[in-house]
Amino acid sequence: MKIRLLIFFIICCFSSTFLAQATLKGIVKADEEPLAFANVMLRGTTYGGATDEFGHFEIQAPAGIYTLEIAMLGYQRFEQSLELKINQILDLETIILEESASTLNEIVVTGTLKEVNRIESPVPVEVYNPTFFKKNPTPNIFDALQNVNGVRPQLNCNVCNTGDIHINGLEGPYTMVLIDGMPVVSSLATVYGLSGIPNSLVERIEIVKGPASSLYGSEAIGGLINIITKNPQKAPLFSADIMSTSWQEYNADLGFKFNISKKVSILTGANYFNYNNIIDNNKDHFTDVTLQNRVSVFQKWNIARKNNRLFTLAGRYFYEDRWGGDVNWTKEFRGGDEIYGESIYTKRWEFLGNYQLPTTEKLLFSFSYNDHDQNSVYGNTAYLARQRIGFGQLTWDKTAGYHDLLIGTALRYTFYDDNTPATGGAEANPLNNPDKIWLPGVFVQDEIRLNPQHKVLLGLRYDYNSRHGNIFTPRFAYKWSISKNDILRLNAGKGFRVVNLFTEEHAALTGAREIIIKNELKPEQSYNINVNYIKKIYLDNGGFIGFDAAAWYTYFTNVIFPDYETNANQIIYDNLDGHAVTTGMSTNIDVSFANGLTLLAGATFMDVSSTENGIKERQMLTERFTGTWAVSYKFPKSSFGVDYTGNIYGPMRLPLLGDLDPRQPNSPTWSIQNIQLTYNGIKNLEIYGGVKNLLNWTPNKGNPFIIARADDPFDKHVKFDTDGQVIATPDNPYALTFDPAYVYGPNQGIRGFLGMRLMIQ
Amino acid sequence: MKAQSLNNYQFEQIDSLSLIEKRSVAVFIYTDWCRYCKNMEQKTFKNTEIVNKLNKKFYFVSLNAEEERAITFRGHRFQFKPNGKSTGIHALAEALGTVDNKISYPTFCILNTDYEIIFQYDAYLNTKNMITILDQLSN
Repeated sequence: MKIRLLIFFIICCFSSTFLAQATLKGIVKADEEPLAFANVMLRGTTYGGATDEFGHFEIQAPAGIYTLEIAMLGYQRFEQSLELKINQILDLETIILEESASTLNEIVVTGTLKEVNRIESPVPVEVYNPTFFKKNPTPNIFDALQNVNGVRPQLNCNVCNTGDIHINGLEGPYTMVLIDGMPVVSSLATVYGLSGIPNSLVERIEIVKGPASSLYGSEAIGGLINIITKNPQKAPLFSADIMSTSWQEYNADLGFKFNISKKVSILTGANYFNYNNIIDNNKDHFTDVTLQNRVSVFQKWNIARKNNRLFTLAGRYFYEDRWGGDVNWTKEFRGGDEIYGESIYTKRWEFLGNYQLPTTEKLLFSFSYNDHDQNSVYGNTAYLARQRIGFGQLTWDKTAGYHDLLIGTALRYTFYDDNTPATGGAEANPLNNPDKIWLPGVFVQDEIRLNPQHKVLLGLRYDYNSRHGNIFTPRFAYKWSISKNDILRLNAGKGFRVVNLFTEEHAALTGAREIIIKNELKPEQSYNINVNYIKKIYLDNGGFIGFDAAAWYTYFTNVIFPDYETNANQIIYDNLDGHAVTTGMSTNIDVSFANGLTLLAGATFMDVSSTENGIKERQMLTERFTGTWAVSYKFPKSSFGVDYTGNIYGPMRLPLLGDLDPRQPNSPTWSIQNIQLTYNGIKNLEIYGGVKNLLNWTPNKGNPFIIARADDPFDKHVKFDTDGQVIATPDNPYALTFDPAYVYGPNQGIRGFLGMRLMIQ
Repeated sequence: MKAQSLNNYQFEQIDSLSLIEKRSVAVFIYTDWCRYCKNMEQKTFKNTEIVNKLNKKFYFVSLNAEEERAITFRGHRFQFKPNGKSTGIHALAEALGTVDNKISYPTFCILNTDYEIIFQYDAYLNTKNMITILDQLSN
């Protein structure tokens, strides 16, 4: 342990009544930033003071010759001789302090390793920090979420690698993804959008399992993922994270900040991901992993205002070119029926901001707008879509006695247009009949502190949907702090979701099947109850054991159900004439010892089913059991650390194309495990490397093929009977059509990775 | 002998307390979510020897870095500085807890009787190390 003895005076404004005084003033800065609390003294006297939060100081002293001394922790001492004359006001203007190359360079601090914690609110929120995701580094948030218990990033297409996030077994559209609390990543963007959010701009990720519609409105029906972006004040001056894998995937994240004035600080982040190496290890003549070229630029402005009121603005631009398909595909085949390829160009920009109104009451206005342009072809079917979402929300945060009130009003506008029958349009000009939805809402939430141990939260939201009418969503939460280290929570609430099929159902886009919508679709609704218990045990020397357990039950009505089985060439959508249920239990344990060993492990058991006409059926592509773990060890007195991470999934029911389909109807129990070694013995630098998918597991194991009829992707040689059913022929013995939807895990086997992180504070 | 509990003062009290008896000020900067801070609260600051030393030789203040209440200390008014929707840092925590241009939790800081920062440590402190520090810096 190092004891630092540093002299740093905090002597505050000296008031004096001398006559014939002079005034000395100035502003102390370092790196363009004002330095608060720098000690300013006239040597050998008692005249002096400390700078205020703007770096400003003012000293009154009798006329004379002095030596001005400015000292500040971590900076070189500043000295200047000067003469003060009677009644003179001497303004030294800006004084720059240089950083001292002192010994204050201990970087790793146990205290900042806040890996998983739960905000002290009646609603259980899981918080994950970048430290957690670094245990198994990934180029984007989509992949990073595989490390979270109860959350599974699911690939939906073997060719284009679209994905969605399953929370407790519920499919992607039931999860709302927010950036800084705003619905920036919704509908169309959920399909490819998550892979475009680089980890480098993440400050933390908050996850709520269970509906949160009473605060967030539509989509927050099964769960919520809120990505909080870094703020310029806390971000390092410069950071770079560059990584590559033995598959020749390259990822680069850069971040830097600068201050254009003492009031405005700007954080800029850029991400580039490139994977252009065709690999076909499962020998189906199709790319195993979609080739990608992606760039994303993010900028956030923090503007200092009077009384520390909040004002931030942020923008992001994203461009991606991805394709997958026949290994011989090139751009000239795009959209044609010669060589099969799925090629998607995505252009997207986002703008968001928070502005606290200049009132004594705490009123916050939040706004976001995004424009998403997708130009894609799936074989010879084109899907062109444009989506714009505008969002504005005004909240009033009021504490009165035992009540902590949050009252708000929100307005969400969705513009959506594409070239499918959903938005009409003639063939010559398919993008001409956009779907526009206005969704205004009001909500109120009251957190009542009954006594130090008991807290109750009541919430109610009312939305008016321009298509579906009135929607009410109530919520109730109760928190009982049994002791300082035991917390019990009970939550109940409702969620709702207004559906846009085409933006969410990738299968509907591939064009492999015809889409049938039987009736006017009603919004889906969910009713949820969950219980959550947390226990913390503090050990001597900084050790910690955390344990939590949760059980939930969610009942869905009006579920919009894609029926793939009635007709192999159709997807029939209708509200389920019955209900769906998801119920389960999950548990997490989090242990850290003073010797540098930490362990995080979680397990979830669940049952997701739908019941129609009294017949219960298990949901497809949903496991009954999942587990995740991360074991880390920091070698004492060395700069090395090791992380072993992994997950395991129980069997899932998989979509087959008919009775003759030879592929396994259920997936086996499968596991992905990774190991990483990190070294941070060089100043400002961390080097990491390891092996991903140690077990070399891929879903083609035990299957004759993964993609059905990869050799005939345009179904040119498929024969149908008069009812539209496929006939088995010598060329097509299993009576299949081309189908890339049999997918539940990544096609990437064992691979190495190496990367480095550079950070300058 | 009954175990003594730790006297936890407010910054506003320090000036007047100093008029009675000059003592160093020990500041423990923590946040609600920081588990190492909680551990110190429940282990280090529960240790009888440490409690006795802090109660006799120091004015101990525990400062929540995310406190939204303005604190007046030595004639300065320190305010909460929000940097996001529900995040921020108290200016006093920033002033006392910044080590190497950044702040992390927990940070333990000692000011001498002239309010000079004579010690900062930005990591978990176990009882043994805390006793060493308090012994060396209690003069």
